[in-house]
Amino acid sequence: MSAETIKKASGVYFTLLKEKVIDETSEHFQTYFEPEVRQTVLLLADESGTYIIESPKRIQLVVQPTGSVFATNFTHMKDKHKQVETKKHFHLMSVVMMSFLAGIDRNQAARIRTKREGISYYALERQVNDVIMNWDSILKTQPNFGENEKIDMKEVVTTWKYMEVDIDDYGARKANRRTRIGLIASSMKLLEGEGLIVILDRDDIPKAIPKQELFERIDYLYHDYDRYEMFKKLISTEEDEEHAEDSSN
Amino acid sequence: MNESWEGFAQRMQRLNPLFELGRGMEVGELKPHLQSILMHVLLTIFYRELNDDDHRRKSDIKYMVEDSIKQMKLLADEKQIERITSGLLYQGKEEYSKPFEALYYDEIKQSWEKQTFRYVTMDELYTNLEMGGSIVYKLTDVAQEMIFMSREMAEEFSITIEQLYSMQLIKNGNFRKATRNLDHLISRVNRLMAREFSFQKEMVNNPKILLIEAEMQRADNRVEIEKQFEEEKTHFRTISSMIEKTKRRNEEDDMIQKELMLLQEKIGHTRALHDRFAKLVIQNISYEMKLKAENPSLFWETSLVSFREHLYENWFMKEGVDSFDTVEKVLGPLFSPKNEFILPLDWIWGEQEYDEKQVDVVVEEEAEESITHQRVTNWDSVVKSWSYVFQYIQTYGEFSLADLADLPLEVQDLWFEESETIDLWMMFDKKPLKIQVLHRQEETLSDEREILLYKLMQEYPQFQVFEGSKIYTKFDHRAEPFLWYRMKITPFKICVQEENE
Repeated sequence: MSAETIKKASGVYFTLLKEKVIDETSEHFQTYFEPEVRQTVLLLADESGTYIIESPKRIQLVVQPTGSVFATNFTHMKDKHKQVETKKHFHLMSVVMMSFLAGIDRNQAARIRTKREGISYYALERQVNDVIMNWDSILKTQPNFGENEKIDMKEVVTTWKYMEVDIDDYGARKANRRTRIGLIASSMKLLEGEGLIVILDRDDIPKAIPKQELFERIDYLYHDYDRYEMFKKLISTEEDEEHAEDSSN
Repeated sequence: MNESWEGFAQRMQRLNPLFELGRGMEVGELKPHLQSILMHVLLTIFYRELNDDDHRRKSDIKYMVEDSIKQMKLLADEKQIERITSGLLYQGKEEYSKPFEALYYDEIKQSWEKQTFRYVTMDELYTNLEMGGSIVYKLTDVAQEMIFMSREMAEEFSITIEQLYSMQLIKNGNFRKATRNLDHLISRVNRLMAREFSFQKEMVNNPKILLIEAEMQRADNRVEIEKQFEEEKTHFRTISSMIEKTKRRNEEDDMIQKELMLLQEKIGHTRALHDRFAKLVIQNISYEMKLKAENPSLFWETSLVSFREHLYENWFMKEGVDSFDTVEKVLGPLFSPKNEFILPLDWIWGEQEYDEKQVDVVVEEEAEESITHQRVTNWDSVVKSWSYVFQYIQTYGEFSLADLADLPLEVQDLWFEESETIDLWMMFDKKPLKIQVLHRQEETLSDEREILLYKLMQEYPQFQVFEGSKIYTKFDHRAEPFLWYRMKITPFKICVQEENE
């Protein structure tokens, strides 16, 4: 590996770190696709716990699910909700984002439509509600769960159920923690800040329009079989650990 | 008159035949399907006309109705078929053979007018009047119009059909109509061409579009498409030679010559347009082939796994979560690293930016958190930063925010040490403040401006002269809002008015 390659590669990597996205008009974009440079950048990325997402129009840098040394807007948000009382709101925001991703993760043709029309906060509220109601019935059919099991889930279900959808106040659709729509607005703001969606009709019926960047991230992260296997493993080990802890108690 | 009324009567007269198609027929459960059946029958008649097929008598139309119903997987009895057939030919009782009627509002006369029309009429060329056979029907202009309208919506390669139709018209000596039909052809080619252009643009930007619009993937049919273009070119040649022949045959008729000239010009134009279109399509096809060769992975259909099905529906929703850590691991990688250690100033501004963006997200959180752990402000830094401002005010009587950017750089850096320092600007923008702090206890001060002034006077005794003065802000109308380290600032001025003024 030549010094020149390393210089170019680190140039690309640190620019990615600073800008998060390099689009095709950047000089770094061309440089990145030189085979040796690309290899080196990928190495740097992997070592620092990040992924590089390539597409014909841009390359993006995101953190890996485990082992990243970096904070993100998401971890920031988590840090802001450390207290017992606020933690459940952060969990709810995660549910909102999961539902949003599921809502836009459809076949290509539907994707184009979502891209044009977006998903309204109210439609999203219904989707989240479906999850919560489903969870509610899971919890009800398994009443013999120990106190520690699915405790987060219970809290999230209760919080959501007793939360108003919306308030008639002017400006109630702004981000807040009192209403479902407020929570959705907070979650969407987070994605907006990340440059993944555009929010339209804020003062009317707000809609979140996914951007190409988001689709590219979804494709890379969740449509790849190997990475899916990895997520599956993460999910099952986490849950196994939980069970192990519980049984030892 | 309002634009919306412009040509309203004409529009409605074009649309009414569509609205009226099959209306008022009593055909029971077939009612919702009537319009589709009738439209298909009209199309069948249209194509038979094009092909010089004279099977267009009432008995033939009845057969067309029956056949259409069968092909649309519907059921009908003899009576229904009879009713539908006659319903296409006349309004009401067959015995009266009445034309169809519809009302439209005439915007010029400002009154309701009645329009009468038919969908089919006798084709005199084919009806053997002498032999007294049965009537051969053809479409009326109204029905043709309907077909054209619907054709404009269906974006298929129907150039050939337009050409055949033009030939038909020329053969029948209907030159003016042939010219008009060429307009349809031109607009069709134009539309297809515009579509090719935007498709080309889209393909360059987002090659995946090829997957989405599968019918636009044509590399495999390249030979056929080229053949079709060849065929269309031949048609143009045929049309041109037909015009030539007709011209020679009617040399003495000036009127016809004129019409043919017009037609010829139009054909020339259409032909050139068509050539350009063909070239564009072939170009797009070769671009598509290139894309496929260079990025084969782009065209593998979506993978085996999807977020919606595998992660959301089968896990998240169905099983619920034991611990949200898992959810966070799934969502986490959607986000980019935040680097917060490039330069001290950048870092601070990174924070500022972040907070700025989050302001309305976490309004409430902010408020609540400030109760739990009070922010500790480093007043030394604040006081020091502001001392420069008051020094300026002491000399000049006022200080414009715009001057901030002119302070020595090390002073500017000082301004970013404490967020309070900048926030205080906003405090001064409130109502004027009469300075009375010198002889008070620090604990009794609640206004942050007063705290600042108190501390300033303690630290720099020369500022004690401000005691008793009124401090207020003035909006500087001449100055533009300016950007200072990514902060947009309204350049108001802080002014001091002395007590005795």
